[in-house]
Amino acid sequence: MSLENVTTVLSGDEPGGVPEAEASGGWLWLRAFADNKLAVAGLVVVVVLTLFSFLGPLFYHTDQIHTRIGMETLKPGAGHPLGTDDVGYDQLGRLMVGGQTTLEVAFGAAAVAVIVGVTWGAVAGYLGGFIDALMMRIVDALLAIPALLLLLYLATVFQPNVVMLIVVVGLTAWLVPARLVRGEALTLRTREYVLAAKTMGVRTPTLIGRHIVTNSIGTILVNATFQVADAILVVAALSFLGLGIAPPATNWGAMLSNGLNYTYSGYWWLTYPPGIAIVLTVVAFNLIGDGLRDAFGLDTRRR
Amino acid sequence: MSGSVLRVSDLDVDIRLRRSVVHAVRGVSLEVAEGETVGIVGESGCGKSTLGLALAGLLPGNTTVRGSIRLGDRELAGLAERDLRRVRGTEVGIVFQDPMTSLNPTLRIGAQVGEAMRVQMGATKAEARAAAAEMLELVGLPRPAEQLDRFPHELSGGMRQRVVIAAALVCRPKLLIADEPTTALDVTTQAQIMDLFDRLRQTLGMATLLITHDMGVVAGHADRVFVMYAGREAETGRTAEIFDQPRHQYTAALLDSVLRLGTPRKSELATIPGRPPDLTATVAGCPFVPRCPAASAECSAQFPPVSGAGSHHWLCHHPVSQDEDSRVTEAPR
Amino acid sequence: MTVNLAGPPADHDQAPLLSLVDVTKHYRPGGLLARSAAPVQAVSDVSLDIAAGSTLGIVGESGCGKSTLGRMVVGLEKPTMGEVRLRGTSLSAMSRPERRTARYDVQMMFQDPYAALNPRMTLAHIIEEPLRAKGGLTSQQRRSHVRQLAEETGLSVSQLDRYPRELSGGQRQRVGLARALATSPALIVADEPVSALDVSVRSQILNLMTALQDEHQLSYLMVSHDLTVIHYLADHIAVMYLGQIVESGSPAALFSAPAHHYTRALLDAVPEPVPGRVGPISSIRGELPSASEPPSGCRFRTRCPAARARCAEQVPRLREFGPGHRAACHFPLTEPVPAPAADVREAP
Repeated sequence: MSLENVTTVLSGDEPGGVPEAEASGGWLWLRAFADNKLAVAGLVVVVVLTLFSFLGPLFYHTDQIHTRIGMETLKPGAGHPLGTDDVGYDQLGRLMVGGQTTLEVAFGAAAVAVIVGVTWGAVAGYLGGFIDALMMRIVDALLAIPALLLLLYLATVFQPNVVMLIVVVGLTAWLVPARLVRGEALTLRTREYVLAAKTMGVRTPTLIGRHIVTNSIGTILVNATFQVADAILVVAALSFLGLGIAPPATNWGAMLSNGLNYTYSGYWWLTYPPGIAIVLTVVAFNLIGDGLRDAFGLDTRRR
Repeated sequence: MSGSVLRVSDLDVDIRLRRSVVHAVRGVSLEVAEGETVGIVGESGCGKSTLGLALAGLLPGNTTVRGSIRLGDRELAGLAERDLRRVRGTEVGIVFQDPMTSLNPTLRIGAQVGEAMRVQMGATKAEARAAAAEMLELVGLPRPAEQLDRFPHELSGGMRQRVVIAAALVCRPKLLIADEPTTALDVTTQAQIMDLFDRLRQTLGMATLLITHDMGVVAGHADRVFVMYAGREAETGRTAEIFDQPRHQYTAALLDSVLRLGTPRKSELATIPGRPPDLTATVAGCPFVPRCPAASAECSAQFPPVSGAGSHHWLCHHPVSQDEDSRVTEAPR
Repeated sequence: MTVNLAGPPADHDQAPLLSLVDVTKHYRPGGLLARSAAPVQAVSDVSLDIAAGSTLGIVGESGCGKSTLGRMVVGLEKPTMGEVRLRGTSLSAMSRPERRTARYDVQMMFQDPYAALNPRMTLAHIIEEPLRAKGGLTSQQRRSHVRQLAEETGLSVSQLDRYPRELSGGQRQRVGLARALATSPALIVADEPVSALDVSVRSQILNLMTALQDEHQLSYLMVSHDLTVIHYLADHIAVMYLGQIVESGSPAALFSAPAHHYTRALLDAVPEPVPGRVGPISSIRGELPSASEPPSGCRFRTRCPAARARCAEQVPRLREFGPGHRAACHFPLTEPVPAPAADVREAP
């Protein structure tokens, strides 16, 4: 073994001589991820919150459609573990419904961002030359537009619903994965297995999908988790600024912004639950992202 | 024994990975005398590079070292990093395989070659510069004074390797450890660099540990050869003894499988079946058993003891017998 | 224009399997600032023939252009000038679909076993990929073809569902070979196929390559810096320096009586595993000149121990030194055969 090979052994990923006998196949990273306690904790938190939001209402029935005057801002107590909000909705139930919207938009927007961004970046990086330059200049130009202002504008023009939010947030977020994957593509296109595929006459779209994208999966997954975290914060910010989804739908950001009106009244159950939920989710996704990054051995990537 | 620059006794190096431990080096003992060149040969995964790193004191944190490494009269194993650093550069010089990454691309040649002198021996800038120039001339760089102010990327691979060698030898160390110093170079450059090693040995008198997988390089430039397999010693002896009379089954098989200019074209080549063993497993007997044509039950049960006489010894239960051997020693030229 | 002819004395009725005719490849350095700089002359005026079922070895050191040559043969690069001809037809004259079909006849085996296989694909998928690209087979047929290839290249069928990371270098090269064989090519370009492997594994792969050649009537274009490997495998050898062929001939001729000084230097530099010799002798000095500003006249003159004034002024022609043995040198090591005019073959 040369020095290089020795140092790769010493860092734990030997190219072929010393097999890590336990993990086989392409799932070595899963094993590494599972060893990372913080990352697993993050995953658990996400799973718990998702179950809470989507399955919770099956067990805990509350009316989230009709407001009930006379039941507003009740303190947490019998019948309402987290009290009620300013129009009489049960807060715990609201948290669940809000969670559904928040997570739907977050996952959806992340999915849109990743799919569009990865395709754009992989094609640009692989083809190189003039096309790459053109495509990346478009990305640069779009990056110059502050996303939040754009979203604010769109939100004032259209009444936002879940699907629209997903599309709009996703379409402002795809630029970062595009850049990242383009970087990967530039490196990967000179790899010998890519050349081999060319020699075999594999068609370009197949080649990009099978060889470039699959070998960037580490970067993509890591970025995807951060996309989710970012989307939650963006939606929260939008709602905070009063431009969220129309009631009776709600999301954690809207709940938070709503609750802040009552800070001085001391109705803590209006602000802390959604706030904590947001923070927990964002931190959890960040931990997952960090864990994935370590598991794939991507030390020096930007988000 | 006086006169030995390096004496390694019963060296073990374990590398702790996430879920397993790699026994990279096991029970290695070897000696290098003053001015002697010892070639450490073996294939991938035999532990020779780890051995080199251990002797240079460059193993990372996730390793455990047991045994003794004596440089002159000083014990190196277990030394603190600060003391090791002093030893490196002044008493031990190290040359690695890849001249591209061995040099800092942002520093000038002169500064890098003279660095050891300034840091370790407290030389002034001027003294270090003069020593660097002298060293660059010694390693055969044309116009050495000019080269001092150039950057590594301005030089070719062969010249860069010469600079690395100069940097390793500027403090006139007693021992030079060269890990695959010519593997990344073209064959004509390789020849030039090996010639350089020979010349430097005559001029500076340092002992050299030449770690390589290339039997040809070892044959032409080493006084003694240490053959490694699976982290352990397989056979040791003077170069002529090893090549003409290999006794360990692995050594014999390895020499048989080396391709030479004289090998009959398109003939069936000798190979060693199977692949090198997994160093995470601890095996009671001889690690070569799965691939050895002469393996017996004894070989699996017990690790072979040292046999042999004088400078030539081997660790094999069923060594190649002397009359079996009909090795070609004349190169057909 | 220097006509560099290299190739076994072919019989003129049958077109060789593959021909390179006056192939040149220049790279323009990219970027606005470097636009005016001289192009890198990676390959200059190379003509070669490869006959069916034979092995042509190209030997040379880094920067000699041999890898570029290999890539042009396989179609990964297009020559700046000159032609690559498969069975007499120039690749550039073919239509796109014709060229795609031609591709399947010439495949490549790569040097670095650790980079030649997609780490996220199973061995079965890797070997199957060329069959999928070619089309025309059902998945069942492909699977059985893959199994057959695995057996032929010494891989156990049970390993087919594993990933490259679990294999050793030698096993990966077997996969590379199996993949190259998948479309039943007539020619395989092997770019340093054993350089990255251990000594004992090298012989395994070389044995395999020889066996497969007999079995399938394969031709190999073997590119390497390692003379011992080229000598072992090649039927005919071309020595390249700085983009040009400086000598070509049979292994026996080249190695017993090299005419060109560079060939001599390469031979001298091979470290033979025989103790007691003085060791490799380096008989050439200096460094490789830049490929964008090659020396005038003979490109090797800056390092040649026998260089004289004429070498800088005049580009040496290829001359005959024996049957199939040609070299381009003004002051060669041996005497050239006086060439009757009819014997010099022009490129058709």
